[in-house]
Amino acid sequence: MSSNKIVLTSSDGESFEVEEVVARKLQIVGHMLEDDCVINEIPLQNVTGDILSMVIEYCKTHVDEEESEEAQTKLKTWDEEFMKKFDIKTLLQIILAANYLNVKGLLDLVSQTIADTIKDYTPEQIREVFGVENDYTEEEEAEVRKENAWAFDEADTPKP
Amino acid sequence: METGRRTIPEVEILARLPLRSIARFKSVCKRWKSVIESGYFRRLFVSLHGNSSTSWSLMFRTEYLRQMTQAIGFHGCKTWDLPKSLLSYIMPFQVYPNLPAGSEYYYIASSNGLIWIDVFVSRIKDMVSSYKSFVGNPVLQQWVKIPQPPNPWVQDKHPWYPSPLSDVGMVTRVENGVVSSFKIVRTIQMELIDRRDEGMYLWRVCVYSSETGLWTFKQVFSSRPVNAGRIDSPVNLNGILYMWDRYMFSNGPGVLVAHDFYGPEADDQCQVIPLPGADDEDVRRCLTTSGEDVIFIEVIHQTLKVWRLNNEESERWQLIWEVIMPSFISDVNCFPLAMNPFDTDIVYLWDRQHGCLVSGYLQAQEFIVHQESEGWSSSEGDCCSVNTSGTEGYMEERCDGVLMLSQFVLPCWMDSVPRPPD
Repeated sequence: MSSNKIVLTSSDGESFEVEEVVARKLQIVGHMLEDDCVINEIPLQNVTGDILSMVIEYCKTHVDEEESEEAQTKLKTWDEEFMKKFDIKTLLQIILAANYLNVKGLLDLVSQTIADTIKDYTPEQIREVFGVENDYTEEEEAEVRKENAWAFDEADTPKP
Repeated sequence: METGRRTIPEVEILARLPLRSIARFKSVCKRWKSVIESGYFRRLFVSLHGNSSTSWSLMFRTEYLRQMTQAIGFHGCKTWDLPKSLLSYIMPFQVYPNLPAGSEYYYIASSNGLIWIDVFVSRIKDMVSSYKSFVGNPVLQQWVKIPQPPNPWVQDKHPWYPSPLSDVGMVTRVENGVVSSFKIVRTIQMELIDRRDEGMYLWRVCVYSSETGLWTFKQVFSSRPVNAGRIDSPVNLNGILYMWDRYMFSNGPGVLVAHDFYGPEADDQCQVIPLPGADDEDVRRCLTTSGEDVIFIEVIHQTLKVWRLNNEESERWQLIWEVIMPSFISDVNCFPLAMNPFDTDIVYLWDRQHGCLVSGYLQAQEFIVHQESEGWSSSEGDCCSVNTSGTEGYMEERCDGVLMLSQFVLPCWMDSVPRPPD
């Protein structure tokens, strides 16, 4: 593997020098490198430095995906610990970045973590967190809720 | 090449939620509802959850004046994330929430996530017709009310009422992983029509199909009598009902009498399949299913044997397990109840002497006794509840014969219950 260094620059001007194999975990970077081999500095317009540093931390840890069961277990434990650090707002920032930078493993991991976090939310909490507007009329919403009444049994009172 | 995607991939998140959350989040906004109800989303969900087991209960067919009872129930699956056992979605019965005291509810059968319930509003003699049948999904609370079957005795002037004892069982058709229709079967009459040789029996049934919304009559011939539905729900798999018959004055395992209710219209024959195993009055037996197989289990002299039904005529039954049971399980009082519908490694047994349920892990030859009625959690975090006292009631009079308990297994998606045309 090449030990070429690549500099990734965030939207707020923070720069990260990483090895090319790490940078290639970001598929968006991988594609750019294929298009033009001489790039060694890449600006990433849509990610802030604090989020980009998390993504890079993930990519560094996952750079050698070993097949052995022991290594897999170790990575899984690391993933769990890594995800524990973030609140829902940060998780949503990371998933935006993972989606934009196209990091498949991180996208799966954050999707599952967000799902586990929001599974007992009410629709109201979901709208707030995801910034989704309620476009139902009162009657329409009551009807949808009635059709799915079984799913509301004990979730009406949200967990803190 | 995809670049510049700056939206939250909501579908990726939603598809990793359990069904209870997904159903709740349909009321977030119109767009989320239409995403969730799309075929693409269903496929993505099933691809992410399809390999895991779903919530299920092992049910007794409700006996006269007894409580509806599940021997054992698992409700903590990640696919549905239900907070309580499946039985508590059936009862109280929400179609008639305010029925008078003394109303009776009967669990009859289950197939591919649908169940058949009979309700008697009252037993006043002149109101026999207040007895009603429903087929549906109790979690989604979707029910199809089944119309009264027609009077089969055209010449008879007296009104005819179906007896609950004539309920036989239910079969379903699955297309592309979705239950597309169901049929329920009732016996009208069973008679010996030819006494020569082994005899020939005529089984007259009426069959309700959700495809037409109608009852139709059918005549089926069998070389063995059809003992359908007096105590147990016949096992059903892929449209076929499997019923059991013994030979008189024999302790042998007897035969299965099977008929495919989704077979060709012209098929009017029952298949008779001899059962394997020992001829001894101390044998305890059950018929069950696991995955896509019909399974037969016997326990005798501290040995547990499990066979799988094959389609080949030459070797009908394939022995898949032969396990010595530990001595703490009392032999003649140990009844196999069923196999885990997702795992042919796990059987459930009832130890009548100690009044407790036993899980048998066959690969490890490990048998775990569950003393309490309270739940325990399996290694997958699957909440489990055992009804020891209820099972005791149902099992106290059982001795020989082949037990057939009903496995009510939720499907892996919240598909609508098939409805008859209006």
